Amino acid sequence: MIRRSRVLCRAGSALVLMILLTPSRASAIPAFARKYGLSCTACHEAWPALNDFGRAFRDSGYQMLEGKDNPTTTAPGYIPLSIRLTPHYELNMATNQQTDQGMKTLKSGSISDIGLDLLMGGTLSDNVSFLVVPTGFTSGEGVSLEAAWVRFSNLGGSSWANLKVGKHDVDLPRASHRTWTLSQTGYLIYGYHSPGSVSVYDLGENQRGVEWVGHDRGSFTRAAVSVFNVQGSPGTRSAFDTPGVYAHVTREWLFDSSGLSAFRIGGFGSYATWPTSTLTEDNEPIPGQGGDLKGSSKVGFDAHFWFGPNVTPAHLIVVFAHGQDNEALIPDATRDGTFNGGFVELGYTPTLRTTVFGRYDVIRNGTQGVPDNPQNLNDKDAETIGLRHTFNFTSRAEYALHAEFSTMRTQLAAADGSDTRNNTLFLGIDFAF
Amino acid sequence: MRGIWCTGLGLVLLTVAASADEQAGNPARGKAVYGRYCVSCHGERGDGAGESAQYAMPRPRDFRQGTFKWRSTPTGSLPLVSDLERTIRDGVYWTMMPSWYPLSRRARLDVIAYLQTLSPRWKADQPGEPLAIPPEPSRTAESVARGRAIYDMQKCAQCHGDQGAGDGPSAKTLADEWGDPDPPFDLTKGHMKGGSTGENLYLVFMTGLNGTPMPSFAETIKPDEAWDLVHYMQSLGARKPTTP
Repeated sequence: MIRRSRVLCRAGSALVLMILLTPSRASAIPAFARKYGLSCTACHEAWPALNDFGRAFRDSGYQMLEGKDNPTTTAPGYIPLSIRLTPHYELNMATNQQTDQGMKTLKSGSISDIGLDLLMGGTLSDNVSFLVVPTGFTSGEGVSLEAAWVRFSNLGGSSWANLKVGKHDVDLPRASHRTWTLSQTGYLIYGYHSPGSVSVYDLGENQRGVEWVGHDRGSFTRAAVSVFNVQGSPGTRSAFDTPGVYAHVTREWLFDSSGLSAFRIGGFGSYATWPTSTLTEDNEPIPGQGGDLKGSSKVGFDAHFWFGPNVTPAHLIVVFAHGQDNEALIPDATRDGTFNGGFVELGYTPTLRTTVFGRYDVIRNGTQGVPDNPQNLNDKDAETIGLRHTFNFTSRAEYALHAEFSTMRTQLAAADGSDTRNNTLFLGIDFAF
Repeated sequence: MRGIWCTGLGLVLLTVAASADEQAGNPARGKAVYGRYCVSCHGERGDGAGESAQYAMPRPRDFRQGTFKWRSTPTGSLPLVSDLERTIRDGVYWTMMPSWYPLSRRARLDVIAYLQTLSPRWKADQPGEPLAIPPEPSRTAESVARGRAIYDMQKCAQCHGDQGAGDGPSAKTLADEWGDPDPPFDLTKGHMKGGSTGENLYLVFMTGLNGTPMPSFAETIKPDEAWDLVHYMQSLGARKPTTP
């Protein structure tokens, strides 16, 4: 029996919740620093966010291209493995939550189950590289593969022909796995859908598929296109039966200036399908049997400004996107849902050890798929501020104090129609070796 | 709304224009560049003894000596700023020195200005006059053959070996000025350390590599002979010459 299923809607909501409750893990890979003898500051503007040199290294397939990339050039004892841990205390508060005792503010806080990332990455030979990241290792969740890909670089001797195959992070305006923020709020625009949409496609989630990347020397001009099967889709039963595509083009200019030292502009877009029906058994969805694919899309631009010396910059990022969900993705909808959103992020790194950062995320719904919904249903505003102070960074290990506070208001989201607010305080030690 | 965009754009342009003022390197800013990118190999004091130096072969440059390999200036002399910038921009192939091409030119000039504070030589001496490089003649079988004859006449095989594989009779005994082993380069590897263009190789023959056993041949071979030698060297490589 095939039917549009509310079960799908509930499953989608559960997935959204699961994703939101999973802190975004970022990547910084000391194994590369060990291999090339560089400090983490060489590749990271402020760990784990990449600088231009680190971005060019990544775009070259984790290669310096100076004859020392092949694993046969490293010491026999070298293992391309790093470990990242972030033991932390996290306090969460959510207002206007429905309980049997009425609308209440719920609080929870604990020293979270630490978990860890095993970052295995490097080269298999000249121009063939890989990354495998098992993550989790917590008592409740087990282990999952955050990334697992092989990349063939410089095909035909051209830096414009690089092909990555496997589960990979798409080329976002701001990589959600290499961001300064670690709390649950995340970049709202990446995963947002119109209210009620069953799709949980999230730009920030790694996707299984193929990515083509091309770039000039230094990666100042670059383009990336990913074709993938949408992560988390209940329709998944073969490689591309819930297809999606994402593309991003950027151009960066450096200035011999003490004011604006660099500027980058980019455009991005995505189209991802999601099943709107499924085969069921005893009214329960049969895994992997979704159908009637409908699409959601996002299109936007990003602008990066680096002020001051590019060694100790103030980095301002502006991202804006327009999104749309097909009406068939939204139960009871009679029209497509649309929204606009984005974020402004500022990080200032006055010394190599310290970065202060802040971000404002915003979501504004345009057209509600369900006409009776108020237009501002599920509009969101989030503010995040924080500090990272690295105590030690060498080519072997790094550890940093991370303190962050974020607050997010969601309009009309409570059961009684009032707004909700989620606050998160995050204090931890982030280290990798 | 249009006013806001115009104002923003104007501020950006003003910021760029108002501060695009310095072309010379600034050592204070260069120290910060050095601290971010260079210190792990070249050390806090620029003595070539950073935490990764013990794993590097050849060892990172000790900037206190004021001795630099890759120059366009005569043997023994200081390099031009443009020589140092080229080494930083393109890196040194087969070594731990990567290409810092993604850095801005200003960052490169700043860090060079800082390096020039690390050795008193930069106050006492001036960089030498850059060597004039005559136009490269066409590479022919004849020029390669003449280059081989010069290779033999200048006893290059003593270090680099008869077939250029870096296995000459003296190979195992060679050391640099600091006493570290400095085996001769295997010319059959294709990609040369300091770049594989004709001009790169020409400069190596005619200026030598300061601090290493590789001498300058400027006094013993003529420019056209140097080009023949370049062509012979390039014929030894497994790969075609590449642009740095």
